[in-house]
Amino acid sequence: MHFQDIYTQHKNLVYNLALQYTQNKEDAEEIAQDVFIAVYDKLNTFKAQSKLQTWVYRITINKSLDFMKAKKRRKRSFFFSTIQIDDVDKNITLPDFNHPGVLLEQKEEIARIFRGINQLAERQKTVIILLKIEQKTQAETAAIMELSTKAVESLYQRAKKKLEKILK
Amino acid sequence: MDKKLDILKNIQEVEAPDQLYDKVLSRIQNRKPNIISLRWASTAVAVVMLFIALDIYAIYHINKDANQDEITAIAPVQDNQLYYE
Repeated sequence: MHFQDIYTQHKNLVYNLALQYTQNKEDAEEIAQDVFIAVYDKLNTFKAQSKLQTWVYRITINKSLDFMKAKKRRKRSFFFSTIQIDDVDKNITLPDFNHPGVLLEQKEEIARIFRGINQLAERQKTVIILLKIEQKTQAETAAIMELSTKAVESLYQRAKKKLEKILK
Repeated sequence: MDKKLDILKNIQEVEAPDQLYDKVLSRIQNRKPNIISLRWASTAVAVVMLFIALDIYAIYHINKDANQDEITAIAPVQDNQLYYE
């Protein structure tokens, strides 16, 4: 399959999934570029053991998580260089919420929920995004995450419990 | 909690930016090509490590044999001559 066709078919999927992780247009665009470069590089090695879309989902999830980890490291090092350690507030609201898919009247509530989601472990965060935002079934989520449906359900329940505590 | 999370279903899908494809192509084209492929580099490293390992093995055994020679030189030669006649 031609790279441009793959791009055309999956560009919105990739960009929107990256948005769910970053909630920020600029970051999502950067991640989307990284994803398609990886797709371009690995296309010859794609053995069709899974559907192409599932493969693209996996690359997008991995690139998004890598990007967020790198961003946290950069922010932490900048933050500690400018502020005393005693002043660090773990729940600092970073002014990055710029999700174009969120309606204005729901922005505050959804931003609050995303602040909670952003504190989850990587796999719990992914399960919430795939099940509740991307509206994948458990079976589809399991295929993307290479887990059993039971494992997905277990991750989801733990994610919900943790979110309940965070959002109290 | 499920009800609270249901609000996330209202997030709308947006179109990827128009210039995204051009940016991807630009990054692909502007990448510096690998001078040596990773496979060849790994093979070269493996061969060098093998030679180093063989050298160490050889040096160890040469030293061991040299020590044996020294011990033999110190120890008296067996010639069944207990005293000079």
